[in-house]
Amino acid sequence: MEWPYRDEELVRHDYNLLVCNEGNFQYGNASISLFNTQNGNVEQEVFNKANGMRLGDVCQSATYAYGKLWLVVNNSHVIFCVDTKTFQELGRIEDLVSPRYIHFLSEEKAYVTNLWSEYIDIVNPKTFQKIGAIKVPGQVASSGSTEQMVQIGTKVYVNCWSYQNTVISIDTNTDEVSESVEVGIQPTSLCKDKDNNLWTVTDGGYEGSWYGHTAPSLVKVGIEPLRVVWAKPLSGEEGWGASEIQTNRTGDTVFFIHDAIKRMSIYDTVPENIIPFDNTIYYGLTIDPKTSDIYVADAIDYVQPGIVKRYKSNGEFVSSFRVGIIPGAFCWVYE
Amino acid sequence: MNRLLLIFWLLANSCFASDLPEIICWGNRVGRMVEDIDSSAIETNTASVADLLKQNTAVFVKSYSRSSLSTISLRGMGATHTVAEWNGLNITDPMTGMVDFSTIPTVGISSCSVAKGASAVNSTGALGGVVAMFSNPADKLQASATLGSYSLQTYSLKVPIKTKNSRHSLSFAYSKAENDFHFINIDKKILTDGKRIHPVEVNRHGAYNSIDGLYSGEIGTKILIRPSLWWSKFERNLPCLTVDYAKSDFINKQNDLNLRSSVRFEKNSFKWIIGATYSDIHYIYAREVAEEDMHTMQESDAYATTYQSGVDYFKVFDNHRLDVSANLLMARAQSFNRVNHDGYSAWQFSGTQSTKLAKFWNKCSSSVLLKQQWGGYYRLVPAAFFEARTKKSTIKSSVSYNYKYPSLNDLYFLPGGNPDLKAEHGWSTDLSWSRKISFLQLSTTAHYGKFEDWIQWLPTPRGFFTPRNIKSVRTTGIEMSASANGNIKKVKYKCNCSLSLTSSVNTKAYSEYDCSVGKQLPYVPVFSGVLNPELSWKDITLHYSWQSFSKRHTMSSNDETVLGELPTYFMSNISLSKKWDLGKFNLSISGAVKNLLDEKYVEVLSRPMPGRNYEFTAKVEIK
Repeated sequence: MEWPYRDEELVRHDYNLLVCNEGNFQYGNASISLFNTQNGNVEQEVFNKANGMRLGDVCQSATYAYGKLWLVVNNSHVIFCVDTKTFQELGRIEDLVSPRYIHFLSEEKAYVTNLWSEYIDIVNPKTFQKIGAIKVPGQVASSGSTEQMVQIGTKVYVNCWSYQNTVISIDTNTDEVSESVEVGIQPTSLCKDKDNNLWTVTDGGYEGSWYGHTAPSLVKVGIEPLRVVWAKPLSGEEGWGASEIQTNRTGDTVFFIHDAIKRMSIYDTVPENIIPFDNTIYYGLTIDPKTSDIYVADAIDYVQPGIVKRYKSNGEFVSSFRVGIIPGAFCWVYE
Repeated sequence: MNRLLLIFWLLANSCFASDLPEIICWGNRVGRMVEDIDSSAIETNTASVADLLKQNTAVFVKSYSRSSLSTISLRGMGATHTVAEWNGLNITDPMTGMVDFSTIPTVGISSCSVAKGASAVNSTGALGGVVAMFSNPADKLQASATLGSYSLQTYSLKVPIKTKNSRHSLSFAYSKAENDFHFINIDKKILTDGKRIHPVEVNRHGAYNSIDGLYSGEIGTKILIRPSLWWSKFERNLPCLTVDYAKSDFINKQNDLNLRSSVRFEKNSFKWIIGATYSDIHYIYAREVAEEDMHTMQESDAYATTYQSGVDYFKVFDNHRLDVSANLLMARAQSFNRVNHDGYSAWQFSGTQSTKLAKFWNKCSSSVLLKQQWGGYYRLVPAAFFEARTKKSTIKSSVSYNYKYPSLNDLYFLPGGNPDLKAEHGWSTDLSWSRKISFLQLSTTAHYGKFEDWIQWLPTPRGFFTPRNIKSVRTTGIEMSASANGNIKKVKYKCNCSLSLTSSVNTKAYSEYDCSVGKQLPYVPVFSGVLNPELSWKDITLHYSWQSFSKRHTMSSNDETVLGELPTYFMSNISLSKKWDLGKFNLSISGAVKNLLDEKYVEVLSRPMPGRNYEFTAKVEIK
């Protein structure tokens, strides 16, 4: 048998949208797909081809900052820094507990959230080293969870998801948790609107959970002080919970997955279906920050390349394209 | 129901037959295709039943690494469609519906056979087939020690005890290894001297140790009583993935404790078995989250207990043989997460009653079977068998419609268990022809199966998985085997070869974008083959074992990408042994080279496998 030693391909990629394909947990088959919104070109497995090695196990998220891309590979305990055009590796931050997202405060300081840890790691992206950690009060490692980060001024807001129910704020001057508010069981995602309010959706946990179980909900959170402004329980056809809340280009409308793809003005209280439930589990969602086009990821049977469907902001179907296994997160790269 | 039974009865009664003794011996195997593993292969194997099957049959053993989870795919079906039986007791884990064959040592096993498709219809849920193992009392006192690469140590002892009307034996086995083999990690690169290269890494965290104690006995003459008891403890670390970049301390460990017991009563044509199994799978995952700050993140226990009883009775009359059997199985599962205090507790009752009527002619026979199956659902399982024999040739054919109930985890696991799951079900049929030509025994089997409501665990947006009945699968294939033995002057030779071509494809689209229809199921090789030639001269034996598996797809859509397939591999093992007759005892010493050609291969993505390695075994047998 010829053992597949892998060469590195030097190709400059032309794209706007990066898709993180999680791959199957424990199989190490995560990958990156690229999509050009102008000409519709799609490229697959670009990290693997560019570096002659695997991306790893469960690519959770990607962040574009200071001209570089940062790929967070959850169950490989690593974050890769790659060139935005060639995807060749520039460095890696290793030995992270279970990294989920990275948020940049400067070129030399970033926060990394974790699952199964009561700490948010502080890293130096220039040296690729951990330089500190923020203890999240009330959390223990076995049920610790910090997820997405949104910065408003000098505060970074974080939703705490797995077996948690809070949104916390971190003072970036002191690197300490300054406030916390309960928003409902398991807030899955976080975004801010044009009025600097935060929005989250909760999945409500699961029936039989020791942590409790409620209906999923949509929650608006004010930041000064950190408080729940408004919350609405969501009743769905399939009851799969709610996830992936996003705002549009102008920040006046929120979109999220709740069986269907739902949309609501930030001044409204009743979400509407903009893309109907299609007897499949939508797994990822993003809104083009330039055009407000909607991109929805469908993992199909979770063991084949998923598909991303593109819609106009009014829900009109535009096109679809294949990506990798379990497309779960997106990253827009407009330079 | 009674009407159906009557129809089968009348169908079977419309035939005529011949000699009775043959009916008694042969009757229960009419039309069934059962592959018996060579007893000498069992005797010389010092590892697990997973290794035994891998080296001696063309079934695909999916191994997650050395001494790690090893499951078996029969005729393109899944791991949960293979049932394991020991001394007639179903030892499949009722929680997962699977058996980890790497945890079953061969030391206490005296016979092992594989029945596939319709031939396994007697075993509830065996849509793919059944691996049946038996432990009979050992005849001779025997001790062996094996030392090998990666700090492998295996010791075994068999002690026979004989009285006037009974035979007993006690077997013990202890095995441990560090499994710290080196491999070139093609899934990673590191920067060395300005070049990015694939690093040479050590398989981290692959150590195991296991201990087994087994008692089996035969008591009585008029009524034969066969008690057996098997205690087993298997402690292992779960090895790191090839794409793991963690360096901090961690614990990722699984301990399996099993206790299996059965008593069989046999008198003439009547058999009764009662038995029970108990298993505790303890899992712990702890990691250093900050310097010298180790936290337990997962710790769970999964307890499963089964109580089983079965009766078999046959009667021979007018060239017919009637087999009646009934089985009851009561399973209790308790899954408990010590960290989150989550878990479930559930009971499952199932029962079967089957009636099989065989009819014998001079050169052929046929039988029909009707099985009633309870356990959450009521199902009727029909099967029919045909066999024709001449002096040198045999033709066999069988057809059945079988069901497999969801496992207890499928139904109740927290989170994600789905109590609304339906049973998986489908047809399987096969036709085989075998012929003896001089010293050569040849056999060819064609098989076909169609199965609905396959269960697959899918992720949900809530972050956990849930099982759903989503697939339909069609399997077709050809299995060929050849065996030969004889002498060339003073050299004895023996050779067996098995080849298998299997198509196992999904036939149902999950959605309009589903590209898996008509594609081979992930991790099922189209081709698999084994070749085992052996030469013996005086007391010296040279054995070679060759196995090959074609590429396996990792995606249901069969995409031929870097991540989409695992390459074909060939595995060669060779051993040389010498036996000495030292009067009151025999001594044998053997040396084996495993993975002789240092093949680099994986059976599952991101799970490294060892290169060339060595084993030395010494065995003493008191005459």
